Amino acid sequence: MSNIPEPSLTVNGLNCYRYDKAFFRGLSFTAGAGKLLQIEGENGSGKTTLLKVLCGLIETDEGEILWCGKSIYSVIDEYRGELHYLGHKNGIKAGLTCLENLKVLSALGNQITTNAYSAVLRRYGLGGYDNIYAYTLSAGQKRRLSLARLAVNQTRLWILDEPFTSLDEKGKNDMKRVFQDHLKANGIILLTSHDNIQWQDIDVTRIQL
Amino acid sequence: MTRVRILNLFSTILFRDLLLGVRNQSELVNPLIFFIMVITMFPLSIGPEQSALMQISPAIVWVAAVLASNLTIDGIFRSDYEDGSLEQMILSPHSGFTLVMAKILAHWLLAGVPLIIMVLMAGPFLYLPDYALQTLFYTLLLGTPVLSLIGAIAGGLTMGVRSSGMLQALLILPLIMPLLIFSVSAVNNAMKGLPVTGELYFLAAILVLALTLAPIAVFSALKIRLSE
Repeated sequence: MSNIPEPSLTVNGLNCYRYDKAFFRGLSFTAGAGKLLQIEGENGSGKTTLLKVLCGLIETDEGEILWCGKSIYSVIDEYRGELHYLGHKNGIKAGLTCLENLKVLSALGNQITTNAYSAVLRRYGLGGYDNIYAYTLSAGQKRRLSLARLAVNQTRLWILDEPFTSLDEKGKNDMKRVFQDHLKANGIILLTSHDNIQWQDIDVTRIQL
Repeated sequence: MTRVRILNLFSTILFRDLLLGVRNQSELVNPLIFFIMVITMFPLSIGPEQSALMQISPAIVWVAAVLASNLTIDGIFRSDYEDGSLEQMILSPHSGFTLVMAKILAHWLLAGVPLIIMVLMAGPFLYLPDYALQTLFYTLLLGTPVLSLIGAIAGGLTMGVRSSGMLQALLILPLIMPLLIFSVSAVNNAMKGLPVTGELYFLAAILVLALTLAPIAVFSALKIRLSE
């Protein structure tokens, strides 16, 4: 493991104009190993756009985004192998069962850490739902299923857009534990949330858009 | 290792789409019913005289096949776009070519192959002689994958656009004119007892061209639509 450099995501002077409107200008920050960054801003301030830019869905030509010191566009395939992105949409097929959904999501990723899908579902509060169609799940359960992919493929950078949407208190606490483990393993988490995250043992860096 | 992963990804996506297609039977069956309806309308309106029907039946079959396949184009990417699965696929570290090819192959298996079987069953009603039916089968075998490939470009470009049907037809129909011309002329020649290899080679060339270029266009279209 010693030859793998510590993960770091650096943003330098990022500008974003969309639909003739400036979302953010000269945005710069660094996220190092074991850091959780919360991106804050009003509705429509460009949080989701920023996350999409950071995961390479939207290309930017002003400013640079560096992963371990290299522009993400020059190492895009490796970068995507290190990345989990969870958007507003869950990325779950309603016509598939929970188990089938997880299998598809894991095949899309790089490092498959576990084949014990049932155990993963149990850990994310979906025990016994293996063969239940996703369209029968509640909104919160769908969100849990969507988050469960974090456990199936091992990646170091998590970019999560409003991960706590429709989660109950227990779900949020479960996620806190998952985040803690990830940060301890030198991972990086970037998330947007309107909740004011106050967790005693997790250090949260806030970025205001 | 990478090769194994790519194969695994290809088969996973293919199997996923086939599973979803089989579970959503109305989408599978509706184009076929449409196809049968169009075909049966001709003998009813023109009259069941053999000579008249024989002359136009290759054209009827092909036009009906093109229109029926147009009905299925919307389904290739729309639902994946709407539920966010497509975002996850595009962000996969594996090549987009694999994903796009798996999805197109699944579409052909679900939309193209049933259509071919349907034509073989409908052939006798249209008074097609055996040799012409055989040629019709070959043209459809070479042509329906092209319909899926070119349809996927239009489907990718128009996903997320409301009432995109007309736009798709406008994008697809000009591109598949050569397909229609060569296929129908092959079957017409077959009915006159003329050789058809020339037309079939042209169709094969069109298929190879679409197979190599369409996935690139589809992937670019998806990236453009997802970056909005």
